[in-house]
Amino acid sequence: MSAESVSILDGSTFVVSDRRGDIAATPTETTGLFHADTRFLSRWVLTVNGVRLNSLSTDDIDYFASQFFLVPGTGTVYVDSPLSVVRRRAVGGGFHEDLTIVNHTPDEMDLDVAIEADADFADIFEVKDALSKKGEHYRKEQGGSLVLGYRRERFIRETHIRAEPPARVENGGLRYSIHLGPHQEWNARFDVEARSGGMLERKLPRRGDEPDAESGEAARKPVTAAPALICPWRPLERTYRRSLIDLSALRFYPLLAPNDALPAAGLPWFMAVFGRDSILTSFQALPFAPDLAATTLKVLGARQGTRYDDFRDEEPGKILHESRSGEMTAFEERPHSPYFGTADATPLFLVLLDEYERWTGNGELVRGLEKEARAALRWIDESGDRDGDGYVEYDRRNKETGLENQCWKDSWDSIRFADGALAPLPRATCEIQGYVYDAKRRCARLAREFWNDPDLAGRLEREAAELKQRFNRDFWVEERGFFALALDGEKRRVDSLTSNIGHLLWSGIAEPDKAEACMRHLMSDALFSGWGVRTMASTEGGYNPIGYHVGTVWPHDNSFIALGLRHYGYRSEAARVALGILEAANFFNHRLPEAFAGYPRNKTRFPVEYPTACSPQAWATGAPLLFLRSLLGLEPVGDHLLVDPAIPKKLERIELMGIPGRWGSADAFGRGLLEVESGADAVERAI
Amino acid sequence: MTDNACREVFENLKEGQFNPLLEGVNGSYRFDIKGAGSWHVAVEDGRIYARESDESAECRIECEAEDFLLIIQGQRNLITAAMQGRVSVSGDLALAQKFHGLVGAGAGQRAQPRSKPS
Repeated sequence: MSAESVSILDGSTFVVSDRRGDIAATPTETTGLFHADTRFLSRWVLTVNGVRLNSLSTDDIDYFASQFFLVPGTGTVYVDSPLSVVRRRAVGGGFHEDLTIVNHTPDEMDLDVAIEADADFADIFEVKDALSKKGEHYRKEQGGSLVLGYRRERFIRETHIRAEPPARVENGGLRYSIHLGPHQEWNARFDVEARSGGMLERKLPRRGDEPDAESGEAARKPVTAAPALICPWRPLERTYRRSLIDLSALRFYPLLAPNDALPAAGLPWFMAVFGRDSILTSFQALPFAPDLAATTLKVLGARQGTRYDDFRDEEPGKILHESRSGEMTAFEERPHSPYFGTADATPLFLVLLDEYERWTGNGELVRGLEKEARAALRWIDESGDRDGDGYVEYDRRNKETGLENQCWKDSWDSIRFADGALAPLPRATCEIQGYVYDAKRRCARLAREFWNDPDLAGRLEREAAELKQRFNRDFWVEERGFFALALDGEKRRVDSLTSNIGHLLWSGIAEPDKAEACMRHLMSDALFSGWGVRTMASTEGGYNPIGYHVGTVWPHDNSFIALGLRHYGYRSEAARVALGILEAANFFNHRLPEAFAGYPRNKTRFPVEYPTACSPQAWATGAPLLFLRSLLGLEPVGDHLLVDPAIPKKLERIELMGIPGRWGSADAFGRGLLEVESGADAVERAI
Repeated sequence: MTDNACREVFENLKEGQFNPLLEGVNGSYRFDIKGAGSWHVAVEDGRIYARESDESAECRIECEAEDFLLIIQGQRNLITAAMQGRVSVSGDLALAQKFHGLVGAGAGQRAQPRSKPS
């Protein structure tokens, strides 16, 4: 997306336009109206007297609405524009647009107003990869509406455009000839509806009648219902607010639970159900919006793998990676119906199930998902452990369109030895073993307390203890004093130093002496950039500060590392990681990006942007929430909320009021008492 | 004769037959198969009761007989068939998902579990 683009969204529908409100898609300008993974408008261009307009100002009223103030010509101090044009747009199942044209002159005026409209119906994968279509496009006038359509066999997608007052439907779009008296105003309204047909057709709430009235309030519910934050260091309040708004924007209403939301992975390319992303974001948001976790668990449980299917990398009990509904998925040119190429989502599903109960006390959901949880545990021991060595490893079965790396660092070159060489498949990455350890321990509790199965509980505890012992032996790189990134296909330790060791602290699999060594590495100059922990240490052969998973800093990664540091008692270190990322947020307008460059802070003085495709991105949005949990030391203990603050002096104090949970509603307060190093000068300039 | 083949599918379901994949599932399906008829299938905690009827159900699946048989035989994927417009699914989609779990992955997609070294 261009930095000059404007995005508004609602569930799986979103509009990306330029700052005039125009959509003029090209292979490099990926603007459009997207719904259910398909582009339903690729051209929506307003002209007055044959000329495109220029933007005076653009306002993102809300995440689902925007308005554009426009004039013809470039406008100068010498020539006042004779007319103003305002476009107000709100998204929801398509979009709704109000157009107002005002004559500022004392003279009468005749105008030719036109909207060029077209739709390429590109699958979102085609947009990303610039692929060509296999079906036929058509356009027709139907009941006063302009209908743009696409057909491939029985696959039909249509865009219905209705104008009020009715427009002349001409080849290429809609047209008005209007007459304005002196200082007179003219208004028109356009409803653009995306129609998918069949089970994808849903009665979605149509927004836009009054964006600031009731519909707007309903849309913001998670924001207003979330705990109130007070912090004298104001940037934290702004970042928190931004996170809650973005989390609301990223709510996705899946077909299997159309009235409940889960977090989609990111705008614009990842407005879909993702196993790993939805689970981790739900985990981050538990103290703030616990309902997201309930929906995530229910939907992922309902779509759990039931069979062996190489094309989709599906196996019984496995939790999905990504679910799509565009043309390429429908015709099985892509495996996302759903695709199961993830080795970590299954243990993470179990981790979230337990964590959700710990926070909410909702044992009913745990009992309701017993069958799915048992199937997930079987997957870990059977299909997940491909060679029976006691570790979960991955290798794609779909060699053509499947993912090579099925851990969170899923780019092709992320798993490298210290000398930079790629590790051969199958790969057992270290953090996945930590998740398995954590999942088994947590499920032991669930088996004992909810599933009435003490034998299973005992077995899982034994297996977890054995795994921990084995892991601390097999993954430890003695000569360098940290855990290997992975075991490769030949069972060699992949000996590069990476942020993955921080996840081992989160899961608790690291023995205490080894955890301390990991902590020292995490806080070393090689891994800690000053803003956060890099994905790969600067000392490694594969390090690249602007490499996607081999040197950049990922806020979500750091949020789990900070929680892990707190679990092992490293309070100052956790606070330092949290503060670094929260300070970085100031440079990104309080919206943390998916990732930023790993250059040392003392050299660049500001975090360098990484040209990432998604903003907002769900788990980056969730990162400040998990940092707040770490800083305040929030942990459910029985029916109570434990608060054990470890807050940097710079933040002075944090007050978080109205934390929902099994205790009802609780407040947490903490004073900033820790001396934590930061680069205050550059940060204060950014605020 | 695809319509007879469809009929056989339902007639072969024994009254009260138990399917472990449907354990814990309660609900009803109606299959409207063009040219073949309508069948009502009730599931009670994994036990299946099918009869020819157009009685309403919580989940309705409509399609051509040919598509139905391909899905039942595991040669066509229910989810992608619905995305393509070959199958119409309405009502409780969670129940539809359970049905999807009972049938095959789609043409050429089946695979067997890999055996582990002993």
